[in-house]
Amino acid sequence: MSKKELKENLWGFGFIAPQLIGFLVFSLFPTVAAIILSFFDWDLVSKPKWVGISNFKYIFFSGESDFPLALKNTVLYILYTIPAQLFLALVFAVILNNVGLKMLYRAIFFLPTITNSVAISLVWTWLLNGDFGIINTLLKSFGIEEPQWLTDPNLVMLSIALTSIWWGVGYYTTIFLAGLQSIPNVYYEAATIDGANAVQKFFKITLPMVSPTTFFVLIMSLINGFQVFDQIYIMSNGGPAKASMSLVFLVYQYGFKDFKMGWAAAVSMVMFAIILTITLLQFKFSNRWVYYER
Amino acid sequence: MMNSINRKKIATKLFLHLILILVSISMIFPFLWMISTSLKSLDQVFLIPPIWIPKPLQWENYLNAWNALPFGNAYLNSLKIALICVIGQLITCSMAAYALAKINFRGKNI
Repeated sequence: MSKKELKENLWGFGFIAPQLIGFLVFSLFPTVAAIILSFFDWDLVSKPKWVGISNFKYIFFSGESDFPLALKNTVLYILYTIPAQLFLALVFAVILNNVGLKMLYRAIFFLPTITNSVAISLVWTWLLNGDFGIINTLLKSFGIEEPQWLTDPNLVMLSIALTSIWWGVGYYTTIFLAGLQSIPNVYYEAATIDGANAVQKFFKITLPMVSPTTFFVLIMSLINGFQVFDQIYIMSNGGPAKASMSLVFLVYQYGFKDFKMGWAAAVSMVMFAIILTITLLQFKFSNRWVYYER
Repeated sequence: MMNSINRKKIATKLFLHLILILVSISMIFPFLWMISTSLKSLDQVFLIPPIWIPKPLQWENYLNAWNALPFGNAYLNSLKIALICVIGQLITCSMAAYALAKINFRGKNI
């Protein structure tokens, strides 16, 4: 290697060194540590003990493990939030694209998203309070029986999902709006000349042209939905009777309340595998329904 | 004069705006509740039907909240974290991006 090439190489590595070191120390090392830790039993104070795959056997098969419940709750949460968020965000974006005053509405819609999730969870905990919350007061004045949003085990995941939808819709609306505005107008003009009405234009032009954005939104919201924690910790603390315990909440519980780091790491590994599988599947099926402009 | 078509267009626009206004209200509503509750005294908070503008505006709530926990410290810490994060990211990422884009070094494509 000539002296000049050597110098180029050094400069290159030097420039990416800060980023690389940060990645190694803060991302790669903890991930590898977690993978290794899932085969040990550790309670943060004594020496870790090798237990092989018994952590995984525990969380899947033992009768007292909460993993199946947490998985079911998380899947329920995702089923509540993702279709609703996608649908609402797309509808709002289409409406916004066709009326004036876009900037004002967009700012208002985005307001919940830029607010801290902890603050929002606190406010909604009070709004959804079974006895004093405003939502129930409103419902009572209409004569509807007041549901116990956060203390009924069947409703609690729905309430948390509602909070999350309220929080995230603005963000996804903005993304869809950007996607919509990149559709060239010529398609719509050609369709009008051919005599298409608004519904036909929506299903034949808008939906296909916005499918890359939809794909991105779907992947991001799935990855984020699986990792929901803030709202659950503040609004219901996993209760009542563990009805709102999500996967990340389970990791927190195992790791920092029960001091079983091995179990927590095992749950994290399974989560990682699930999310990775779903994302890969989405990519694989994407060429069936995502249109990219040639 | 395309009067009926114009009227239909205006009606559609009004309807769409109405939907947007309803949604905007539901977005802002929790913030309004938050501000309104922050100015109430404790016994007024849970009254039904809710009072929107409390009669004696309790500005002392803000003072009490600030003193209850070391808010000044917390705010300063958050500020430090945010600033250092952003500056750090700007520096390291732009350096790395420049290296990957412009300099030819071994192992670049990994």
